[in-house]
Amino acid sequence: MSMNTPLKTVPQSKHSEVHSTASFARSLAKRIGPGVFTLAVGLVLAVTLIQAQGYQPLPTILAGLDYAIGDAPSIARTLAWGLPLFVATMGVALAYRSGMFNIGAEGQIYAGAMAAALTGAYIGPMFTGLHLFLCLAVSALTGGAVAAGLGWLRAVWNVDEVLSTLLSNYIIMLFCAYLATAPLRDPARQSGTTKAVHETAMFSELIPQTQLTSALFVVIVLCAATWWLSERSVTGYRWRMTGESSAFAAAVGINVRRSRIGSMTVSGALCGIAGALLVTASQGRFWTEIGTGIGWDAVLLAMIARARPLSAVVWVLVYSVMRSAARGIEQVSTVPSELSLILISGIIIAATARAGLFSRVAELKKILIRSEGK
Amino acid sequence: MPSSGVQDTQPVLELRGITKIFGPVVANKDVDFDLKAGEIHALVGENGAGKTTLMRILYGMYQPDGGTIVMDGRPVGFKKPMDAINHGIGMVHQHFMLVPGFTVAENVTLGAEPRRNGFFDHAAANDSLVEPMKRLGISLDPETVTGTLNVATQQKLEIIKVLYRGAKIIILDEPTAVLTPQETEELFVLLKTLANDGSSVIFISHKLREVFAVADRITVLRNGQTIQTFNAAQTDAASVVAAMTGRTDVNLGRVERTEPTDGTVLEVKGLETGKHGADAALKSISFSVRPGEVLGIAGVEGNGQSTLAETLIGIQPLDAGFIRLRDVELGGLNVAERRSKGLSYVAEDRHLEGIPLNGTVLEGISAGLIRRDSSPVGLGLAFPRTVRHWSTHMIKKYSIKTSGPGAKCSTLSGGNQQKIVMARELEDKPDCIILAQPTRGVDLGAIEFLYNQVAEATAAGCAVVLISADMDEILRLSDRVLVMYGGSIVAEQQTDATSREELGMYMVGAQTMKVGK
Repeated sequence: MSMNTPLKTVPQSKHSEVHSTASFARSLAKRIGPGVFTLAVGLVLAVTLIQAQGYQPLPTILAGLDYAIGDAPSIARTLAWGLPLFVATMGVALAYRSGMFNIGAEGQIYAGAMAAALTGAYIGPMFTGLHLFLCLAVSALTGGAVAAGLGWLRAVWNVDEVLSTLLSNYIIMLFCAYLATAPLRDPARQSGTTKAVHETAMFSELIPQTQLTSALFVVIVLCAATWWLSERSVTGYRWRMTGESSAFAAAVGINVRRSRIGSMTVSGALCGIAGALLVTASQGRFWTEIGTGIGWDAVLLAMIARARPLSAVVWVLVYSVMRSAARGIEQVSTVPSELSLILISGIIIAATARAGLFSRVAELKKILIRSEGK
Repeated sequence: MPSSGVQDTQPVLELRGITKIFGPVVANKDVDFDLKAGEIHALVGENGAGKTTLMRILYGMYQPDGGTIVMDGRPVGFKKPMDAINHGIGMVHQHFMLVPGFTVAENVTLGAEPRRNGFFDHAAANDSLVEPMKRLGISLDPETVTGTLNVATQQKLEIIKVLYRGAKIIILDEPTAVLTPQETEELFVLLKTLANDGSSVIFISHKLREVFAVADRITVLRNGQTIQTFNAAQTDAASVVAAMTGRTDVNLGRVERTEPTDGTVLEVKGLETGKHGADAALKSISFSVRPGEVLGIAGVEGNGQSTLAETLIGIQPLDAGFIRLRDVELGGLNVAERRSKGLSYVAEDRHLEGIPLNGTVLEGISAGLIRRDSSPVGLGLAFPRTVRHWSTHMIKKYSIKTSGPGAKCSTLSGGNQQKIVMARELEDKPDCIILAQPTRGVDLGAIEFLYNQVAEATAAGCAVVLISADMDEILRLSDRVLVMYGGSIVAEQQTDATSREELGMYMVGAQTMKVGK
């Protein structure tokens, strides 16, 4: 053991490029490997479930995939459904990175959707860019305020955020339902909805009949910004270190309270915007079932992606295709579209088990190699 | 003095060619070890040398991947600790396995309780303690609640426990880590009594002074392999250190330093805090540190040292008193503000506070640089080119053994992790640095390196507060020593005018001197 031998230093300029390409390929393989594994588990699960219903698995799945990504309009439809989910998943992942388990995404989405619906319906009409900006901004503020409050409870009074965010869902969703069914109800409609928003508060369709709107660009910008904030910026460093070890963060002079409240606020703001997209890029008004559980989807997807923004984007894409394919499968068979939910749950369990499984396999390999060497 | 009970006969225990592999790590490779009746056999080595793994194999906690255990000439296999216990092997763990709310008798008999009509037999339990206590020459009230006993007595209780289970071979894993010098002496007397009685003791330690004080033979492990077995009487510390480290130039003596200069860098007066966690609250702590001075703070853990460190850096609030760094009052400032005023801090729990264990070397080492980013929103790049170059340079300067700045901190050895911490803190060029247990779990070679870095900093005028439970560390590095007991400072001495024994008296509160002005 020679502690003091100086490190051999590789001349940076010459080798670094070759080295970095090789290591990039290796790290890519490392990242994709587990994803492929979990997808394979999902596929096996899907085959089993479809077989159990008495259908030919492969043609059924192919029919579903054709429905989801068969042609340009299908892809656009699939993507359109996924837009709010991208934003919400980014939001949840951001909070996870700083150690805040924000499972109040669903509630924050509802709050954002209500805020956007009211801003769109009661203010304006006005110049559409401004109106949309206003809707998204008010939703972000609403979702952000809710999450900031919950983050503050955790940071200052040490109220467990898992509990508080979970329960906040019910408070917010029921309050929004009350608003939509009583004081703010659209009297022209039977069910609990608010008034339709002005035309100027709606994103325009990019491809007709697909619901894919120019909100796509907003989503791309938000995903890129979240990635920068979380993985590259000084603030992101502080938040990540707080999540990694709050004791370390405190010892090196990072303001742990500020990190926690800050990351929760931005997380809530993103969820709020996701809610706004449900209104302004799709439904055109708030109604009591508007969220359809995408907040919960976001919580699960952020978990599978281990809170990394890039893999979160990939997983939301995969999940959107799965959702859409499951709907396609429902149309050609009696397999219910809840299939996608069962699959994603199975994948999460597989992903959780994977770490242990992989290290076991690696260990076995080493032992085999060693015994061959002897 | 080694015990005289060694019988020069066939060994009672032999470990032959033991190999144990954890994933990519070979923890033990062809390790040989033998133990004679009536012998105290020390097992020494750096952290990660494989001592604990070897003992866990012997105790049935791990299964070896190769090799055999031979007892009294017959090969044996232990699938679980109970098998080892049934073969007369007992282990005293570093962290005690006692139930604080149980009485002495209940703890000793736990797991092998005497029963009457299916119920716990109190009388028999109390009686069963008599014989082991007589062998050890100590007496304890069996009805005492264990939690009320001090640490040294709890350790004796652990020994009584293994004797109660009929152990003839007793393994002690770093038993002196929690003891004062006097208590250590008492433990050694007790171990020699046991050895003279015919029992055998395996003594795991990395403190050579203690090893030489108690052991008959010394086996050195390095990188999972047996390097050599010495007869304690026929060797010296230098040979053992050379075997442990693979180097012949390791300095175990006093670190060479320049003299402190006149003036005051850090002044602390009348510091009081509330109680936080397990550590004692501070009671009117006052001291000052000169430029280039190392002020050692000794004491048995739990007497307020952790509270003091955290109060100085600003993690814990203070109720009264002031902290002045070069005439700047720090009391009302937060950690970041204190750091920018020139205070640095090496926290005692490296894995929790020192480094982001699952983060990268870069993230751990550059925290000080990033702290200086004072933009209110902080959307700028955290690791620009300059920071990445700086971190590569630091890895070189501090000889941090790692694959690069992108490596995970958890893949580094304890010594290299601590170098990350030291590099970060010293490169801040602080006026004053607080070192809390700076070399815990660090190898001898790396310790020397870190001490030299501290010496360099003091030569440049940095004042050092060295909080350590390791007496050797205090004596090797500090100019002046304060002893803490029960949250107060009970003694102040120049390091060259005091001794381990004297400090030990203050550490247990047996003696107090008037300190402070």
